[in-house]
Amino acid sequence: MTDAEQRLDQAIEGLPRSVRPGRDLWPEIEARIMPPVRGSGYWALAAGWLLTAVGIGLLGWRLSMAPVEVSPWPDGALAAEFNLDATRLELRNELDRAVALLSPADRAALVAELDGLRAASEAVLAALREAPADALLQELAASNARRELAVMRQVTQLSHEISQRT
Amino acid sequence: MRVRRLWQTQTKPVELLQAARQGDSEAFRGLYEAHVGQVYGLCLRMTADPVEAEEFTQATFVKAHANLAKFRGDSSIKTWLHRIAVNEILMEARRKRPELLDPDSPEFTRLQQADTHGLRVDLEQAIGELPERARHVFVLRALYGFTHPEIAAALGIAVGTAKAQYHLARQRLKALFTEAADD
Repeated sequence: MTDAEQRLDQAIEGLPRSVRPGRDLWPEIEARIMPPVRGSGYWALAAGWLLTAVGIGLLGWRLSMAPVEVSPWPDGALAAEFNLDATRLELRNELDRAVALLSPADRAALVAELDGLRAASEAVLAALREAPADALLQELAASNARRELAVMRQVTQLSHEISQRT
Repeated sequence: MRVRRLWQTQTKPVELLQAARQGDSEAFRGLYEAHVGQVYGLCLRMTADPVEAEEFTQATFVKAHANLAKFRGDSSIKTWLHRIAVNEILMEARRKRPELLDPDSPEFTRLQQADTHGLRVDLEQAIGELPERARHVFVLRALYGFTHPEIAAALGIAVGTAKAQYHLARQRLKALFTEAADD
């Protein structure tokens, strides 16, 4: 073996076989190997439902009350604009259709979660009845009314996505 | 108190593999942490491109994860990962359809007799400058312990061709050392 060959072999022997990449590759690998989180859309649906339930409940409560000093919209106009009863019914139907697409286990988990959320919502409404003149809560009702429209769009979209996945 | 993750503990590779097969992502991360250096090193030497090496390293672990159930344990995890990495790189190389350097071609001879005067003896750089096929053969043979039949099977070439490419690579690298010694 020549001197050059010996030096080459020594140099080869001296090369590290293990080289750490310049950056952490794990996050991208993890993102590619992890399955999509099952039910994330369902929990968004549940959260949307809670917001809508609170919003509708607050609006219903707000409309059922005597006129107060702070009133963002005329009550009649508000009720007519949002057509709350029809909206609630439509939303329930939409949610029922989406829930029907779930697996039994997911459906049971969602129903249980929704029951808990609805109970919490009712507790909030009950507390509001104790302090009906709270201007901050009225503002919340108005804010929720605006949010309601956005949530309805979200529920419809999620339902559509679930239908497409299945 | 910080929770020590599974991949940070001294869990044995076999146990990590078993847990990873059962869907434990922390266990798979343990395998990643244990082997990413070797896999990246192989990819870096094969591609001579850090960015491509990162991509192939990621692809290797993604494919390994998808095929965990198929790994029978006939070879070591390291060898298995190396084969996946080599396959990933070669699939891409075939897609690009590189020219296989014919040992009888004038280009082969020219490379063998290449004037390397003035080149620095930087083995990593020199390996990176080898013709792609010769580089693949050399890296697998000299650095990662593949046999010529294994290389031939992986690259889809004859064993004799693998040996010729290895010889070419050694000649070029040896020439660099010869020139450096003469300087």
